[in-house]
Amino acid sequence: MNGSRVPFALALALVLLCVGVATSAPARQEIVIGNEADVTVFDPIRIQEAPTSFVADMVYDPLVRRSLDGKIVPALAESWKTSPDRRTWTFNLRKGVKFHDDSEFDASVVEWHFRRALDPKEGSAFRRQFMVIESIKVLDRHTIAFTLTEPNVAFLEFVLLTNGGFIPSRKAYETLGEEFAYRPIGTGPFRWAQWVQGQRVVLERNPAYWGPAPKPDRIIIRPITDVNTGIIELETGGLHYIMRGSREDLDRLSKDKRFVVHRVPTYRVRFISMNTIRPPFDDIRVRKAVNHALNVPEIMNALTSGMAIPVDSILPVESRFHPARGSYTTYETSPQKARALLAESGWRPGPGGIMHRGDQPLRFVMHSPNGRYYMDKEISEVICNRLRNVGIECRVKVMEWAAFLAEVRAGKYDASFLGWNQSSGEPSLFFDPLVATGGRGNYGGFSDTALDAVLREGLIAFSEGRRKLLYARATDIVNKNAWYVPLNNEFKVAVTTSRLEGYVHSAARNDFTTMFLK
Amino acid sequence: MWRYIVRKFLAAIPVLLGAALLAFLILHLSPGDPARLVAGEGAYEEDVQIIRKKLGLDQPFLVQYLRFVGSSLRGEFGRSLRTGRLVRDEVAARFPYTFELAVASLILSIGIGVVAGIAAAIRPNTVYDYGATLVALAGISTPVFWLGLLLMLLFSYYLGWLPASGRGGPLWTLAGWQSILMPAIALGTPSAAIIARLTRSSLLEVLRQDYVRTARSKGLIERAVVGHHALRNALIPVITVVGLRLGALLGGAVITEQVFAWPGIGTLIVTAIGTRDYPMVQGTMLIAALVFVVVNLCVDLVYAMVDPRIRYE
Repeated sequence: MNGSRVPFALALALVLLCVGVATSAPARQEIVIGNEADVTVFDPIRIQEAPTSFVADMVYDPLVRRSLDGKIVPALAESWKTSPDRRTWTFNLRKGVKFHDDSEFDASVVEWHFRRALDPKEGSAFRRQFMVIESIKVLDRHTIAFTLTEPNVAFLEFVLLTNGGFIPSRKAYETLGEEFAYRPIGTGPFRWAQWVQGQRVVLERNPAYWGPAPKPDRIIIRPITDVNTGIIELETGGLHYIMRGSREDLDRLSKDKRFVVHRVPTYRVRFISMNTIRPPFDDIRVRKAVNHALNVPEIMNALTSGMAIPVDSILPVESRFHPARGSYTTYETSPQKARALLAESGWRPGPGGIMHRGDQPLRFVMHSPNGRYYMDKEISEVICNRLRNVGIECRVKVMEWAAFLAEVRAGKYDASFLGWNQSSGEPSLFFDPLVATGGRGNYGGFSDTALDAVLREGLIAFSEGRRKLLYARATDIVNKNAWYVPLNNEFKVAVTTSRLEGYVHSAARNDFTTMFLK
Repeated sequence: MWRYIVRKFLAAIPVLLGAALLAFLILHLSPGDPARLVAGEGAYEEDVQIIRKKLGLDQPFLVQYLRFVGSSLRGEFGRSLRTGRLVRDEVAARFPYTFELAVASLILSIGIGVVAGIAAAIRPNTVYDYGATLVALAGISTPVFWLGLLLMLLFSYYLGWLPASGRGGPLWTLAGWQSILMPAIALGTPSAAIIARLTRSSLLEVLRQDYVRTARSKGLIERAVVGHHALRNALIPVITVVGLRLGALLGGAVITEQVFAWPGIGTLIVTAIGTRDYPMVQGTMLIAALVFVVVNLCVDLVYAMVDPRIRYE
């Protein structure tokens, strides 16, 4: 046998197989989007993951929606009002709306949906959150009222704007059985057409959509878990829209006319949390010294430029309640002030340039995940390094996420790199969990009675102007307590082919109905 | 022969029980509270308790293990936390894709590996031999994810011949073939390299045997000597490697599937691990172990059929 001929023949066969059969271009107005993972389950009360929520948002409608600029606007409810005691919310529903299975949308469906979300037997992921609802009453076919256990101005954000707020077809629930969870039937701009597990979801334009007619005929969502693969797919025309990319790739693509890189700060806050229950951060002067010792904007610009924006509070800058950067009490970068505060607290320079109180060196351990948040470990390392300049010894303890979370949640940390993600800039979604006494994300034992009072009022004050004032005051109290070193808001990123027009990039929501390929 | 088969089957049982225990222990040995991880970092304690109960984590260790074994014996392998579907059904939806990729990559690697191995062996210490050895070394040393990206750059980005990722369709369609080529090459390259080296050394060994000398001395042409007499015996160790490879590949080619967005078991496992879908991880691991054991059992049986000495051992 002549061995040398065989590889040649194989190569020739390979070439013949490929030549002249370039990947076919998608049909006009068929938009292909890369999703970071496959979708999972579409029963609204069980949707907990972003890749699924993102698709569900095109198929289902909630009663109210967020506009691209973060305001709350009508969707399946045309209007709503609150009672004088602020406990009852009444919604006037849109008439003549039909689900994709031709069943009618009316108040009875809304009632059924929220009762189901509150039923312990249904396995709702939102039950605990929805328990602010005391009762639901259908007033007529197109009017429904929710009475809450107590006044809550953030009810729309807290209940209706969650994934659990998507209204599915009751007929589908009653007829599809287990398939109900895997074949979403809503009233949204796109209808469910096909799902090939691990490969693609196909959505088709809903011709009977109650809102402006969506421009794309079809939207194909492909799960592509590898970031580099997503980039290559975009560059080779296999995708028109991706949601991720490395900083290097984003910088490169932003200089390429064939693509548009979209970035907007989103509601993902990153910060260092200092545990007030344990030394050394049980002393406010040490916490303030840490804040003075660090030049956060400089560190952020060096490490996260293009992927995140430095911040001055635990409230995201994109929130409508954030007045403007620089309007809160913050700590000027001043090693002198840091040293003075440490001296005031009884710390004196000791061996190795580290501050000592008696024989006790000023040292702490910084917990950090690795890769959970953008540049988390690197930021932790730089911060530790910088703190040495003022005589604070810090060691970064990088941990696997599960172990990290277990220790931090149990309060077993001195300081920790942490993050808090929400899908909206509603301030109570950040303040109540992170800094209210006993809040579910308050791991450092933070407690301030004045702050708790402000936050309570924040939930019942209906005037937006009043709420802005209250949350500005709350931010000031948090910053004065120096519980956190606010670091950054990560960007929401998208890269689109420049052929795609009509897309508006927003932290508040994705709207794919207006985009089209030119 | 039957005694041999029964013995092999019985030996597989403890292996599977061990795999089940190992898969199960992962849940209990991994740091952190699985229920809290599933619930998310900002979850309410009440939600965490509900999930703990749903997962059965509030039950004693032994009860949990027996439940898992029971579910596996029923062929369900538990229920995914993320999708709510039976692990069996999730795997069944993905297994055909892993299977076709494994087979395609093996065919490629056998084709390339055996041919390169023969080319090197029949001209030892020539440029062919050194060339094949060098390529084989590169093939073994190249990380799959890097090779995958290089292939994508070449065939998709620069040449535009093949789709960068995803499965284009069934293998009997052109789009199906186009989409499987790159992942099959990336996945098959290390195997091809191993097979090439093994074929070379094995063939060299056989070519030194007396019966080959006899064949040559009776005037047979070289092609008949190598192809008919030497190669058949030289390929026995290659069959072992191919069997082992197939077993491993059917458990999901994690990196290749991830890089090429191939919808097989590998992608399923990675996603399950990334999202802490413990029942899915446990179930998929056990199924992968099952497939591995079954394939190896088949290889053993084929061996026993081919070589009678083995079954009389």
